Amino acid sequence: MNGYWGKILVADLGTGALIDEPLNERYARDFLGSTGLAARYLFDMVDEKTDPLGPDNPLILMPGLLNGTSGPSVSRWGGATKSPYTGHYGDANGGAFFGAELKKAGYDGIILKGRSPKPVYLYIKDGVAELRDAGTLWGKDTYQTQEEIKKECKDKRIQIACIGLASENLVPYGNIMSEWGHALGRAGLGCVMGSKKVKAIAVRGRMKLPMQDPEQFREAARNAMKEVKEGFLSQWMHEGGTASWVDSAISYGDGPTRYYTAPTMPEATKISGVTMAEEYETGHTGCFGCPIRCRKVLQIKEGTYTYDSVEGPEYETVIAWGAMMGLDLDMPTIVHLNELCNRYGFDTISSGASAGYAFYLYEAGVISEKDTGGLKLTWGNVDAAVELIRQIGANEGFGAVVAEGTRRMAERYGRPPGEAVQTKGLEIPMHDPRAYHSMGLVYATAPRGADHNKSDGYQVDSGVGHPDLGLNADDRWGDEKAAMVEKSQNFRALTDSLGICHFAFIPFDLVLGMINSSTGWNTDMDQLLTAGERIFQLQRALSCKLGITSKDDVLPELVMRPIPDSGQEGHVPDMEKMLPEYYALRDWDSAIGKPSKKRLESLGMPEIAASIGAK
Amino acid sequence: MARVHINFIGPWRLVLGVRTVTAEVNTIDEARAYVETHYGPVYQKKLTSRGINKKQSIWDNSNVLLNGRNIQQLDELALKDGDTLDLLLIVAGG
Repeated sequence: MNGYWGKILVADLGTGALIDEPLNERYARDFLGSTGLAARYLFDMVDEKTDPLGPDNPLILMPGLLNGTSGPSVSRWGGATKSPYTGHYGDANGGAFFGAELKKAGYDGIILKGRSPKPVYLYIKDGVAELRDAGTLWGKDTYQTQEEIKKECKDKRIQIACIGLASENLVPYGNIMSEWGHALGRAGLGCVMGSKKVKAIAVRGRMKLPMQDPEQFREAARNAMKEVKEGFLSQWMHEGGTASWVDSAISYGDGPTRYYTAPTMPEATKISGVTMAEEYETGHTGCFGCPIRCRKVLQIKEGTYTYDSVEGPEYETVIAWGAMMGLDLDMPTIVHLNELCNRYGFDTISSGASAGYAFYLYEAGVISEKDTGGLKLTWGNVDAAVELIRQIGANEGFGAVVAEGTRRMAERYGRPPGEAVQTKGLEIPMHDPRAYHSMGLVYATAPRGADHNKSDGYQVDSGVGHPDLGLNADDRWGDEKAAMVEKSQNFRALTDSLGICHFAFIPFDLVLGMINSSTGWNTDMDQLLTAGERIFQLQRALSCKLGITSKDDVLPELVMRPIPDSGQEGHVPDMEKMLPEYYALRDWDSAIGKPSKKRLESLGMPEIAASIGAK
Repeated sequence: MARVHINFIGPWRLVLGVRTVTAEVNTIDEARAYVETHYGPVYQKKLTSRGINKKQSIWDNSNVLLNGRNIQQLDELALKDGDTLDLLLIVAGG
């Protein structure tokens, strides 16, 4: 089977058995890799009764189809599980080198089942796997863990995906970290890994992936590399990184401030990617095979926290642990907050938004120091934010309340559900739907919950566009967004499963060139875009199987309140218009939210239709 | 002639080396010509240093706000003393 190894490593952690199972070739053909393929496997393994932290909930990790090849910016890999944070379908997508190394180590994926009686880590080298004792690693942060494993294996080139203390302590949004700050960030995949007592997965591989036509692949990849190097988005992502969006976010009102209730703080410019580049940057890092190298290496010589060499935070973290709590931060402090979150290993978006909600409740007089264990959660209190991160990571004190997330916090304090800025249990990221109406629709309909990466809504309407897809910039406050969002979601489901980074615009003919010469499929772009829709509808079907209905496709009331004196100019998305139009395009039942039997069957999924009782 | 402040927001200031300039221009077209004449060569030099020889426009790769409002949504585009034009790079990420 070209383009794949044809095998998945299944680890039964209860017995310690490691088995190579044949890859389901039909699944691979239809769902490609990474989160798409992981979701298809997950569909067969979970239902509404599955306890997310129980041994029956699998954690499935898979490389993108193109991982480990010489294609440009094709390093994205992902995972899926039943989320302990949201209670339904959860997935996450990350970069760096792990996915490529796993592919070169001879596997198309890993499924962790059961629960180990003691802490272990999984070691894989060139097609051979073993479980090793992780007793001395348990209790270490994500950076220390990686350093220790490399020392133990006497190999600095091992790639490691691991959990920190947060997931050991079962923080529901605990994540899986790799390198210095790359994350499978959302939905609590790390928490599941912690519940299984798996501290890390370490991989090393030098195997050559079988390909249909390696020479033709190299040609397509070479041309694709040139396109990505010269691409407009690539240049700017290299120049400023994601955090360079801060200044535009201030103008557009895109960065949530004081828990989504105030105009974007202008002070946030002090911790933007531009400020990083102007005052602190010493270099760049990137993911496997990526010429963009969007991440910044910083040197912080003065201030409360100094670093000789550290990777800078991304846009989401800069806002989530900055303006979200009204924190007027300097660069040393935001870098420190980011490092803490990375070392503990938890989602900066959900944690920042949940901490923001705590500040909101404190300022409103709903909670007091009695509830917070003495923390004064007044807007702008940096010391309180630092202490809160420590408590979240330890899952103790008031941090344990914030670790539960906004939905459970609203329940705990008897607040209106619409005050919890989440959809389907996952907090809204740092792109306000009142700044870009398309994001309202994106958040309401993304399968895992509010998710800015399952579509390109704000990117298209900022002007980046997608000429190949026929998506061009439009009025960001318009409400004719259903078709754009649907198309963009399908496209991102496809590219995520292929392993292509969102910042790399590779012309379709070259994407096809790489896939066909690798796999020998002789596919075309229409079929690939259909695969994208298939993946998205499958993930929706899985969410429905796990209890999601149309009632969950809503935006919380708090982000439907206008903020007039801001870059948002008082606009709010018209969900009553956009949702029905979107549902019609997706062919989802408006009463229960399930995809129709007809649509699922047209996408080659009759068994999925039958399983969820689609009509 | 109106004295108008032109702000290069975010990543533009990294590449062009300037945050704000004051230009004497009466119309949006004149402001555009000012930007391309004075800063287009700076941008082009940066591109060339990256091995990119294709000519690219600062203005066309920006969302332009007049006193905070996108010019594409405005009917009235005449400029007056003290007006502010913000050039925001069309790229979004994060």
